[in-house]
Amino acid sequence: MIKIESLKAAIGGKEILKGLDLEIKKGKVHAIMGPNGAGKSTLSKAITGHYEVEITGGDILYKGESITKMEPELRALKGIFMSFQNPVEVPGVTNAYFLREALNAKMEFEGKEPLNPADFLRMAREYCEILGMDPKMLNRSLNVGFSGGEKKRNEILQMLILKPDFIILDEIDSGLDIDALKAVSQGINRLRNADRSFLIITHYSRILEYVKPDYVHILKDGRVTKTGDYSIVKDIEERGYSEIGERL
Amino acid sequence: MREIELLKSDPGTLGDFCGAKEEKFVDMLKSLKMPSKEVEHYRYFDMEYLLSKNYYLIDKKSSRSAENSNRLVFENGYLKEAPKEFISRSGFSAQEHFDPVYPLSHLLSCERVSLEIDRDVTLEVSHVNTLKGALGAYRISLRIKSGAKVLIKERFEGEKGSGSLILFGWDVDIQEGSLEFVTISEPKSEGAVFVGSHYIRADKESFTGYRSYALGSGTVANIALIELEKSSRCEASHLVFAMERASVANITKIVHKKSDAATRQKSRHVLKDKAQAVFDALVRVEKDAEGASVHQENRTVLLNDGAYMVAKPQLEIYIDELEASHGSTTGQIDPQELFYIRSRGIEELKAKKLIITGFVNELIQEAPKECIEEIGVAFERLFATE
Ligand SMILES: Nc1ncnc2c1ncn2[C@@H]1O[C@H](COP(=O)(O)OP(=O)(O)OP(=O)(O)O)[C@@H](O)[C@H]1O
Ligand SMILES: [Mg+2]
Repeated sequence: MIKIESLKAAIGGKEILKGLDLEIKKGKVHAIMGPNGAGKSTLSKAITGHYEVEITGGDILYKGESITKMEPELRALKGIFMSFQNPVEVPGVTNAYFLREALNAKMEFEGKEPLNPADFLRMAREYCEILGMDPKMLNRSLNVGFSGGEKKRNEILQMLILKPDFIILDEIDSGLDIDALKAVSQGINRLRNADRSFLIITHYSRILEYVKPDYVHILKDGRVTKTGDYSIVKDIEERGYSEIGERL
Repeated sequence: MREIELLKSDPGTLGDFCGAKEEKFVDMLKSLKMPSKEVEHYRYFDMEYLLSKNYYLIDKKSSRSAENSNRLVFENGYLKEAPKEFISRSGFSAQEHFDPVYPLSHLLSCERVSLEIDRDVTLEVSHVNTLKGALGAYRISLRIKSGAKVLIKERFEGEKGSGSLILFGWDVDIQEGSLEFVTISEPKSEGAVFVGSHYIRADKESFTGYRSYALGSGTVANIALIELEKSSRCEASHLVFAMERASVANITKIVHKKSDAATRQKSRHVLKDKAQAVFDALVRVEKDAEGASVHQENRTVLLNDGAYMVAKPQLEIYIDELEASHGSTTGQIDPQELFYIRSRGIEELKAKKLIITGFVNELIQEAPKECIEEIGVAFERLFATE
């Protein structure tokens, strides 16, 4: 699905990713853990084409194609999705309108007929229910005045509607209460299948108990320093990142 | 038609020139000084340039009768259609006004229409100009009575009238009732320039909605003095979406004369290319106007470097305590918002449009429901020209 080869990336002239290698397989769930400031969000920004990130070396291949020079919208249309660590507020644009525009852009890209507003609304409401979201949120301005947890649920709602192929979840679990965490995990598991891949960035093992990862990576100082299975999570919880780093 | 060069004429001779000696307007004009850069609020809207051009004055003609209709239509300076049922014989009086264009348009006016409305009604008003290089002036007076709810929806057509200047305006007296005054203009770079200078007196417990929507590439100015009596409410909203070499002015002075009046004024500007706009908005709370509530807010988005905005929301307060807020921001499209939307597969231009639409939507949605669609369509039309 995604192959990242000795990726170097800078933000504001400062090198953050320092030759990062990572391969994410089709149909698999990968988790990335790592200390604050290690470059996890920078990695997701590099994959999605964020304007702050400057790629200074290496490559990102998505479905075999280099995407480092691709416009962010094209990456999205080709199936890459990131739930933001801090989703931004867009005043005056209703959630429903935005979601429908996004979905229609995708349908058009895939040569399909756009969904009519009534069908769209039915679908959106159904997903709201799964996520324990009040459908009234659909008529509010995008993320404006949403609580932290509501913003995260709204990211998952977008994911459910767009059904992307490669999904990055940047700290989707931060700040969620237990019910929200369950709802969000349910949303994620609903999309899990043999063709879709996930990259879950987190600081906590809790979400990984609901969404079992196939692989766990540790990202430290701009590199992937360790790859293994779920058992790494226990190691980190017991010993912290510094010791694990030292063993390498 | 006779040639006229306003700035070279003395106000006195202007009176003669118009064939009617209107001492009051002449004096007023003298005291206010002809519109020039000396007038503070014209420092950023080039009234002086507009008045220094050579025009043909549209002459006063004696008898001319307008067709009866449910609309009010002015064409090339004259009343063409009017609802007879609302025409009144009451005379015309000019008020003291802070703006020199106001007496000037009174002085030069070759048409004066008085209306009196005592029931709920929507009145569509159309200002058409097809003459080139002409100076037209006319005034409308409106009295609202018996608790009537009146919606005025004003549109302009001046594409063919290049080099023309139309000075017009309303004198409104809301005695008992409410007014929604909505003026929607789509000024074109080669079209006639419409300058509206208005006076609105809102009697006790009345409501005034004063809303201007300017969407285009040309020049337009909306100037208003609004006086609020006891417990009256005023909502003013101004939306400007301007591009190319557009020049748009919204100049208002809202005066709280008596107690418990409320003003809420909001503006949104989106400026592109070399467009410039001035929002000069003074709310004055006089000493007898205790219990005032005043909220003023302007937000501007500049889409590129050449665009220019002058925002001057101001409060002038002569009472000790009031409820007030006041603010103005100017910035660009937030790159984080833009990226967020693009990252969901929406292409850059569409994403920008979505953000701008969201930005202006609040003001569009505040318009009376009869006007929302029309404003939306005008907005789309301008976007489509990009
Ligand atoms: N806009 C920016 N300007 C300057 N430095 C930045 C910017 N964005 C990120 N950085 C820096 O890049 C480094 C990596 O940040 P990043 O957000 O990728 O970390 P992270 O691994 O996601 O951390 P966290 O777990 O706290 O979310 C940090 O040192 C951060 O300060
Ligand atoms: Mg992060």
